[in-house]
Amino acid sequence: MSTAGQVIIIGVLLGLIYTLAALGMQVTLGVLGVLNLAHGVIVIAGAMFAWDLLHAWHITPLISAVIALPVFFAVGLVLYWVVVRRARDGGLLGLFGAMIALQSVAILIWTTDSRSITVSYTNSSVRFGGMVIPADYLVAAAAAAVILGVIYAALRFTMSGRAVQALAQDAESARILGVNVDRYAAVVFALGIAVAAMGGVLLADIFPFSVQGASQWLAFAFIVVLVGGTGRVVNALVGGLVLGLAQSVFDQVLPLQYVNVVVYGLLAVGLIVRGSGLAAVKERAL
Amino acid sequence: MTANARVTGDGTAIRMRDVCAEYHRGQPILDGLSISAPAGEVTVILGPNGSGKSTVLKVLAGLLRPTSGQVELTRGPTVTDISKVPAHERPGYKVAYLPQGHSVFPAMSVHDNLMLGAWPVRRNRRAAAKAVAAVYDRYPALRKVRRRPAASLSGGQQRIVEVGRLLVPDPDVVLVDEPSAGVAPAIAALMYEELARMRDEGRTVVLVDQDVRPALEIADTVYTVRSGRNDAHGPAADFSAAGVVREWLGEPAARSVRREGQ
Repeated sequence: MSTAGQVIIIGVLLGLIYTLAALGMQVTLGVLGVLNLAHGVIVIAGAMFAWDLLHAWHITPLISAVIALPVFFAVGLVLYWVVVRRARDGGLLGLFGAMIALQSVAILIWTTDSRSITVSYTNSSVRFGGMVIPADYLVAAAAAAVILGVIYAALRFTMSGRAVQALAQDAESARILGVNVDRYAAVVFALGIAVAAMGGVLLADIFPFSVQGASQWLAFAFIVVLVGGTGRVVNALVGGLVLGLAQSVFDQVLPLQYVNVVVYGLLAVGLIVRGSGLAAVKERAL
Repeated sequence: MTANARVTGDGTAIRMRDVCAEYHRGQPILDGLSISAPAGEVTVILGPNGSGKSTVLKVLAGLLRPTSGQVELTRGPTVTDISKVPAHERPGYKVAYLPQGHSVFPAMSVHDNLMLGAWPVRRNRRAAAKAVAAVYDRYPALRKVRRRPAASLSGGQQRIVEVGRLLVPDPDVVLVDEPSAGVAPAIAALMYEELARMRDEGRTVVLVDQDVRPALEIADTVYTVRSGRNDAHGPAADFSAAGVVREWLGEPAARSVRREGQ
């Protein structure tokens, strides 16, 4: 039997991880107006990256998350220069192509097998006040919270963070004041990719994953962006927490096979409520 | 203060020589235009709609690269060709640009807006903080609203944020496009006062304006531009608002300008 408190705590933990896994898409859309359709593949690539490092060199996922940052930042830079930079449609078509190409490459490298990661804390749990919280959820969510906190502080309190905000609100004015707008756009996109991969590493800690799962993680990111909106890290957090809590609650009251129906139902409701979909979200971007 | 150094005679002049510029290939907006803005003066560029006068500022600010011709800064005996310097590097050359219309970052606080003005000196925290503090001293009203999002201020206050942000890096050359467009008359008057004050501090001001009369009141040198070419230029005393307007719009419009002036 699980208590209401346990359901809520698990929902919040999931929400933190979902927030991190979706943040890259949210920021890329809000700041650059680029909808990264390859987001889901990158999340899975991050998960596979963690699996490979664990099995090749016994590197624990928490370390892999740190290593993923520079590696996937480089991947993001390449993707930006090749696909997004000169595109006039915000790279939408190019990123659609990249999604299909990357997914094919991912299948070549990692096959279509489903994998999962087992580490020392995988099957343990923390008990208090009658609640049982899986340790892997706690660890992954704590890591997500730390990464989110660092990103939030960097955006808010550093000059580079102010430049990113400025880029989102009025790129021309940012350029006039001296911000190298082209370079910052590349960096924002690449960081979006890197954070997506880091999110993937943490998701791999708690869920099984396969290359085909890419579209599910793309849809989850859509939900987070649709529900929370763009503009601030807090918006993504709202979207992530709604998604995490919804999943956790419906997990208790519905048979397993219906949970995803409800989760995707959220996506449908989000699209209906925000009449023009992601375009409406973009207009709210500040 | 560097302002004093400028007053003692080593201000920076900016000029463009034989500049051609276009947004679309084969459709020149500027067609061999030359403008010379002397150090420490207000140079006003006038012209009818579509004459290319705003494009002059875009070229001076680096937002549009000329297809031919040069843009040069002159400080004492030193001449620097900045024709190929991109817009984001021009603040480093002490050239600042105030575009037409709103340019505050709406969701950012007044303070963060001003901090972005310190971008050229961002690596020196102390210098950046000092530069922003100097602007608060200049416009004390901004200090009271420093934590508010810029979008929550009135249009006039937003204009002051823009002017303050422009002055944070202590520019030598200030490029201003239509400062009175879309603002209340009191704010427009304040804008012209501030431009005159910048000139008195030794800064070089290049002003593009449709509002001929107040622009002429603070002008030292005037250029008129037609179809992207030089029309007339000379000391401001040689130009009258009614005369300029008559030439573009005919006698009835000129009469209304004269009435306004009385």
